[in-house]
Amino acid sequence: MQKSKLQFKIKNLKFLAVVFSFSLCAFSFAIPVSAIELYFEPRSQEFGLEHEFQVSLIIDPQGKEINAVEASIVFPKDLVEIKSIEDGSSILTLWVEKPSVLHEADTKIRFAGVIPGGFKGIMAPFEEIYPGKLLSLTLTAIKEGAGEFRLEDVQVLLHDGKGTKAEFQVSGFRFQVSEDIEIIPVERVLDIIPPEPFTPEIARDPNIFDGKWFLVFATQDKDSGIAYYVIHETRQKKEAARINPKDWTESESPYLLKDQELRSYIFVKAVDKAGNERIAIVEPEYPIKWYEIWWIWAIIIIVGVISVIVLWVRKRRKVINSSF
Amino acid sequence: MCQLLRKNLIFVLIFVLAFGWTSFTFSQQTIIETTVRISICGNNVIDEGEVCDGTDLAGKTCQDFGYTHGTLVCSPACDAFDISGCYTPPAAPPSGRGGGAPPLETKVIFSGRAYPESQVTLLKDAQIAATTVAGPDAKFYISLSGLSAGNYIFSLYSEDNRGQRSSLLTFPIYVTAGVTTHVSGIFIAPTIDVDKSEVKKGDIIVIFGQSTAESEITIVVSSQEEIFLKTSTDKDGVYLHNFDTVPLSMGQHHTKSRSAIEGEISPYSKTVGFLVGTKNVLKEKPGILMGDLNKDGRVNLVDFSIAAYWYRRTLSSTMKEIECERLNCDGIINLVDFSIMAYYWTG
Repeated sequence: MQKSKLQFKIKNLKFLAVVFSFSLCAFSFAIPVSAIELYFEPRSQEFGLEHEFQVSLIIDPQGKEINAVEASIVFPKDLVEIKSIEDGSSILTLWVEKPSVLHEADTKIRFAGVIPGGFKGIMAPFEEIYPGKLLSLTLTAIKEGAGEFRLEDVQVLLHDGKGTKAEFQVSGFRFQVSEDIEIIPVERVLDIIPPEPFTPEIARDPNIFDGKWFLVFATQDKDSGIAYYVIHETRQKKEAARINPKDWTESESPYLLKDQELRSYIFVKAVDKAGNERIAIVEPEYPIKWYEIWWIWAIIIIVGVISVIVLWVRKRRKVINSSF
Repeated sequence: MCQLLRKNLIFVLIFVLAFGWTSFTFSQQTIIETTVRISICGNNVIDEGEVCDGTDLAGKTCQDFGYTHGTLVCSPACDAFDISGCYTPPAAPPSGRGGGAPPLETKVIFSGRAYPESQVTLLKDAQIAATTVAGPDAKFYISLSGLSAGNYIFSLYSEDNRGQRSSLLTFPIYVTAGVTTHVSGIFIAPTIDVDKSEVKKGDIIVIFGQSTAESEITIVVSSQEEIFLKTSTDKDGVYLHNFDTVPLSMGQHHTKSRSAIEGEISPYSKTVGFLVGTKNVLKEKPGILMGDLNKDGRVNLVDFSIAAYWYRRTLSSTMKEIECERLNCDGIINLVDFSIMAYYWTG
C-alpha cells in the first residue's frame, strides 16, 4: 500500500516536472524574450510619512527601435499626493498628450508622445546603450500603508513606418509608507536655465482653422520641463520686456493667429516649471509701413499746420511792417 | 536510485534547455549594431577617438614635446595637446597662460561622411538646429553649442544631387554640462531610387543613387532569396546599376543599398519598391511623402500640429482622404498616425 502511494507520488512528481519544464519552454516562447520593458526607478521603496520622494518611469527598448509611447499611471491617491510631474529630460520629444492627472479620474496620469527618428537607447561612450526616461513624478506620502503604481492602457509602437504595436513588459512601483522611517529630503537641483531656444512657424492649411493662418511652436526644458506658453501679437515694434503682463495670452500649439493679415510681431514665451522664460519673436510677414501709422500722420498734420500758421504770421508781420 | 536519476535526467535536460534557450535568446537580442563612436570631452577620461581629456593627458608632459618646463594642456576639443604652456628656459615663459582650465562649454560635435557637396541637416529634438555642406570628399562637421545638460534626440540626414533625402540617422545622447560630446564615424546611408515603377519580366531596371565618392555599394534586391549586387560610386558619389530582372518572380519586389569605404560601412538606405509584371512603366516623381499632411514636401511640426488638431476628433471628408493617402487609412488620428509621421520626419 505504502509502496503504491510512493509510486503515485513519484509519478505525480514526474508529471509536475514535465508540466513545469514544458510550461517553462512554452513560457519562453509566449512571453517575448528581451521584450521592451517599462518600469519605474526605483522599482520599490519604503518611505516615511510626509516624505517627499521621486520616481521615474523608464523604457528599455532592448535593442528594438521604437518611436511612440502612450500609457496611464494609476496611483493610490489615499496614500500619496502628486507634487509635480517632470517631463524635462524625457526622450519623448513631442507630446501628443502632455503628462497630466486626468480630471475624470484623479488617480490616473495619462501621457502620449513620439520620438521623431526613433529610439533604441541613450548612446554613451564605448558603444554602451542606456534606457530612456519617459517622465519623473515627485510625490508626498500622506498616509501609512502599502501601495503600488500600475501602468495601464500602454502602447509602444515600433519605428517601422507602419506604427506596428511592439510587445512589451511592464513592472509597477511598489512602496510602503511607514511612520517610523527616517525622512530623507529629496535633493532638489535649482533650475536656473531657461527653456531651449526655438523658432515658431506660421502656416496655413485648409484642414484646420478653416484655412486661416496659425502658429506652431515647441521647445524643451531639460530641467523642470515646460509649464506653459504665452503669446502676444502686436503691430507695434517693441521690446518683449515692455509687454504688459496682462497682454500675454496663455496658449498652445497650434495657435490661431488673431492678425490674419500677418502684419503683427508675434511674441511666444515658453515658461518652465521653475519660472525661467525663453521668448521667440516672429517678424511680421507684411510689416506696417510708416505711412500707415496714424500718429505719424497726426504729427505731420500738426507740424504742417503749425508751419503754415508760423509762415502766415511772419508774412502778415512783413506786410504790416512794409505798410508802415 | 540511479535508475530514478537516469529517468529524471531527461526532465532535468528539458529544464536546462528551456532555461538555456531563454537566457541565450535574451543575451542575443540585447546586441545593438552601431558604427558610430561617442566620446565625451571634458570628463577627464580618454574615450575612443580622443587624444586627451581634461586632466587625463595619457601620461604625456611638456618633456614629450621637447620642452623642459611648463604645463601641458588638452585642447578644448580633446583632439590635440595644447603645448602653448610649455617652455624651455632661459626663454621667457609665455605670458598670460597659467595652464588654466579651458572654458566650460556644453557642446556636441558631429562628424562623418555624407555625399560630395551635399547639404547635411541636423535636427535637435525634432527641429532643424543646423545645416552644413559636406566637402568634395563627402566629409562633414557640425558643432552645436549653447546646450543644457539632459537627454537630446539628435538626427541627421543629407540630400543628394537630385534633392532626394537619405533616411534619418538618430542619436539619442545625454549631454553633460560643461563637456564636449563627439559623435564621430557617422556614415549617412546612400540614397536609392529606380527608373521604373513596373518592369517587364526579363527587362532591365536601373537602380541608382548617391553616396560617398569612390565607395563600394552593395545593393540588395528582395526575391525568394535575396540577391546581392555590387557596384561602386564615381568621383561625385553617384552609382547606377542595370539590373536584369530575369531571376525575379512576378510580383512586388524591394531594393535597398549600403556603402562601404576604408573599412567603414553605412546603414542600409530607405527601401524602394517596384513591380515585376508584363509591361514597363516609368516611375513618376515625386511620390507621396507619408506623414506630409500639408503636402509641402516635409514632415515637421506643422504636420504634427495638423494631426494634433484632429487627434481623437471626427475627421472632415477632406481630412479623411488625406489620412487615407498619407497615414494609415483607419479614419481616425491616433498614436499610430503619429508614429508614421515620426518615421518619415524631416524636420
